[in-house]
Amino acid sequence: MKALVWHGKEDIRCDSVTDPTIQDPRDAIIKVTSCAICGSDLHLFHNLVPAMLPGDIMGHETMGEVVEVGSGINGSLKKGDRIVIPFTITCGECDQCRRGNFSVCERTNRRKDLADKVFGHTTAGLFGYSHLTGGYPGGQAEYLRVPFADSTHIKVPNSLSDEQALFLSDILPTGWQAAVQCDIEPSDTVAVWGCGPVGQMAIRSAILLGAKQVIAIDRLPERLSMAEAAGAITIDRDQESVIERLNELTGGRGPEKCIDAVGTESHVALSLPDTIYDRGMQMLMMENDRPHVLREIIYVCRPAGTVSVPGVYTGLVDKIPLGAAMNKGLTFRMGQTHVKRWTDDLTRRIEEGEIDPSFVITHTAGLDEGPEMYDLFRDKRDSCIKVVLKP
Amino acid sequence: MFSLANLTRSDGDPKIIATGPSSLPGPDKFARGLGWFSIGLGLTELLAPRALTRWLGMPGMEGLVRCFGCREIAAGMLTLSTERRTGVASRVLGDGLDIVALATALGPDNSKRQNAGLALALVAGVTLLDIVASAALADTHARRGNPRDYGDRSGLRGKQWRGGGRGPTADHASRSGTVSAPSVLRPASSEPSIGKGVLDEAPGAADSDGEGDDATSRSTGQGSRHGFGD
Repeated sequence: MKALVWHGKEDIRCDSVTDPTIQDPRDAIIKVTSCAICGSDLHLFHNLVPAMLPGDIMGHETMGEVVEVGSGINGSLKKGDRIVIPFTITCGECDQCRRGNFSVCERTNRRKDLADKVFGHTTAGLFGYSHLTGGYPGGQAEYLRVPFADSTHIKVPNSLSDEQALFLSDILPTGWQAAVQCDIEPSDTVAVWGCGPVGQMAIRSAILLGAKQVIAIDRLPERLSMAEAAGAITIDRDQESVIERLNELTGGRGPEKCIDAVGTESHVALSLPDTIYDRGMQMLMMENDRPHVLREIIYVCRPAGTVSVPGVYTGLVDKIPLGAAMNKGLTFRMGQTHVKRWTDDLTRRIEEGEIDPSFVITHTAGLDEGPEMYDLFRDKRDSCIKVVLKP
Repeated sequence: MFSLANLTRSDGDPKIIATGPSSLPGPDKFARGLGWFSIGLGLTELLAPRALTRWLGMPGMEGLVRCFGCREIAAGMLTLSTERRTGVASRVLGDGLDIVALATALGPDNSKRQNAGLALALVAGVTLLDIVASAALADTHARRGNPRDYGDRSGLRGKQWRGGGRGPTADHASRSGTVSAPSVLRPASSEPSIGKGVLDEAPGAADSDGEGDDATSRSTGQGSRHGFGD
């Protein structure tokens, strides 16, 4: 089969690889009908996530049709079923899964030894997201083996197209969880840093959850126009001071709820000296992430406010003003998305037409065009916001 | 096809049979070559400055050569990183410094001025390559044309928002009786509605499904009020 394979920093190729096979009774194999490139795939593309190895298949936003099931599936899946694959692999049986904390499932990371050492305790296995999270082959491929398939799937209603359903795998529940974690009150201003795909979903989620106003911050006009389309007030950080404008929009108090949908790769600019410091530290391997957005959020967030972090951070960060955060009494909520906690509700909202996540798709291409789509998406050329690949 | 990458695959995972073209564009591959060259030259300058100054007829300049070595290594690291364009630009600047330093060794009092001239010619050639690489990188990664206007992509089906809304519903909790998430993250159950806002039709926007009223009523449904310490 064809698959997008990581060969090193910025080196992804559409390779011919052997087909996946059932390895466990709870496995299923799907024929991938649609998959997408996620913003967090760019962190792998840039080799910022530890424990990637040449030969790893990329992709954690995938859906398709079941073509083979293991003997232990117990009727929850059958050949021909159309399913979306959550990016977090879940057993559905461990204590964390029973609590709904699916992204920290205790049983699905097959490199638990590694994760225990690095994180202290293991988190769930993820598709195509380094050996720290199991080293599972990802879904940017023609076929995908789904481990724990009886639990790791979302059945897609026939009424939904691939484009409407695909983002249940990650970015829609991720944006939703980011907003839910904010515990939004009707009087709240929610500020969202980063208008990439997750930021766009977080903006719409905050709107649906009843925020008084939602403010979107980015530097790319096309992304700001998409945020504005939903009704967000926009701040172009290349044109105006984020902090001054946020204070102006909130009567000098700062936004009550702040969402960091940027994560580890803040844009580096001469006008933001801390980003240059971070980039230098990254190159000297003295820091993993560029946490400019976190610093800005801690500074501008209203005291007793909430900081929600759906953006991916990979390791150690430097110069975080924890003193300000502590004295302001900020609440931090973060984590990989507990996808299945939200997908029943979100599937219904899509079916009822409350939200149509396909709005975010700007480019569709074949799998063999995947490598150049990574390059295009990274450079944000051609106003690219979201790429869907059709194997 | 033999691939070293296949040695690290777990049993049963797909293995590479044949490899396709890389996502790395040609100018980036070329720039990477320049980056490695920079590091090689920088290490030579750092570790063997005396041999270089002797060959160039520039005795006593070992400290300067070592500094240039450090500069080359830094430029190489930058060129090998994702900030490749900055790295190559820094190489062009460094080439200028090299040219100035070598030009001082071309005087008639230097018995090795021929060597210095040869080094100068080499640096000039490399400078040309750096300039070509810099231009090619800028061209390859440029954002051309006007950014698109996605102002028609609300994702809320032709509606614009005027504040308010509703929170997660009890659906998930009721369907998944075993879930006991932390209370602040748990889907709301039967708490009072707090959503006062509505999803209004945008002026002139078509309600594609003709369910505008229904959408309004839906938006005032369940709230998501969770007090701190719930």
